[in-house]
Amino acid sequence: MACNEFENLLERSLEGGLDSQEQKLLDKHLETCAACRFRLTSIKDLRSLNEGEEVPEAFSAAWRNKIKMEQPAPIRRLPQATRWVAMAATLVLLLLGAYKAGDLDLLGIRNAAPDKSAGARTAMMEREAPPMDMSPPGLTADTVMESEKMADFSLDMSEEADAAIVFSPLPTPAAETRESLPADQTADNESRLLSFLHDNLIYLMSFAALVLLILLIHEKRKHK
Amino acid sequence: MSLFKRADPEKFEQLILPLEKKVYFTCLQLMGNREDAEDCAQEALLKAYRNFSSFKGQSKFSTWLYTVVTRVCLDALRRRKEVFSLDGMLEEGYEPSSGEAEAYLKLEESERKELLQEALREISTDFRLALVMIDLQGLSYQETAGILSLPEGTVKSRLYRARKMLQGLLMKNRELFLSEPRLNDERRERHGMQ
Repeated sequence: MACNEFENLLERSLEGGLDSQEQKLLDKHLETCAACRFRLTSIKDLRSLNEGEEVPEAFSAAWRNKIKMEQPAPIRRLPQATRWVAMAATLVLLLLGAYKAGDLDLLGIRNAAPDKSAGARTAMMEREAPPMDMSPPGLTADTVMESEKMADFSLDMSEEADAAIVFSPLPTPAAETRESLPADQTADNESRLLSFLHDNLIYLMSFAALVLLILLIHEKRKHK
Repeated sequence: MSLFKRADPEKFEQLILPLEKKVYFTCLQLMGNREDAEDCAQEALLKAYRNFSSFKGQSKFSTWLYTVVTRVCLDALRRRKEVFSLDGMLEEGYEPSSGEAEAYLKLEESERKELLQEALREISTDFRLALVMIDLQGLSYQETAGILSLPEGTVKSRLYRARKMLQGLLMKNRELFLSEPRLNDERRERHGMQ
């Protein structure tokens, strides 16, 4: 039997898988074959390479310390009742946000039809405005004359305005809107801006509430 | 068990205690020096502690821990750019003559082990892993295959080739060892002092 034929026996002997007959055969070969003895010895030496050696104390202490330092600080959790109240408040805020979201004109549909609403507003203002020829009761002659002068002036002004209309280029829609808006509509714009901010604030609050809810659920799952 | 899953340091220590030596020496043989071995072993144990919740108990704890250790060492070796493949000569192994083999066998055990340490450092990582896991740490082929994510057959073939490489390197280094009697004497003296 040649050396390479003993290789398989050698491998199996290292795994402890030889029967007594195979072991005898291998032992007989090892007595006469230095190369196979060398193979077996080298592997046995490798297996006992660190036998009798100890782990350095510094290493042993270091990893233990690191693990102790790694221990997370105890998590302070809100009392159960507080957490339920927070959850309920979050849900209420969410519902409120969703309700308000219905009122908000996010796509600008209402603002996209300014002509209609402006026209309606103008008509309403015309209806509400007092008639031009209505004079308050108890006017004196002087005041009547004064008012006539004012009427002449306004006529002149209207003539100038007509001329301006004739000779000026066509006004841009924006300019037209600006000019056509009465002064007291500024207050209306302000209220619309406030309303818009209010609506957005509700959205912001709803978003914050949603984040809070997610965080609460996450915390609950983490500590399960 | 739920508290345990949150990695109680004392219980984790108890689990590690019987494996501490194997973890350290696995790192030592893979990294080749004590300093890197300590760093890697510490990092591996810390990682195991932090990720303990990912141990599902489907394998033995030791197998899971060796997987962590192996990955940490391989990452460190990659950083050191030491993952290389063997050249052809070593892969073929080396057939010692009867005289060479006798000379090796006549060496003292401590000298043989010193040669082994040197030879191990020269074997490429893939093959060294097989030697360290199976021959040095006594893991089974199945466990090693699981740790290295390789088929069992590949592990067996790597181990066979790794042993051949190791024996080839032992012979190569043995020549150096024995050809310089002065150095040989110095080594003996050093061992005597230790």
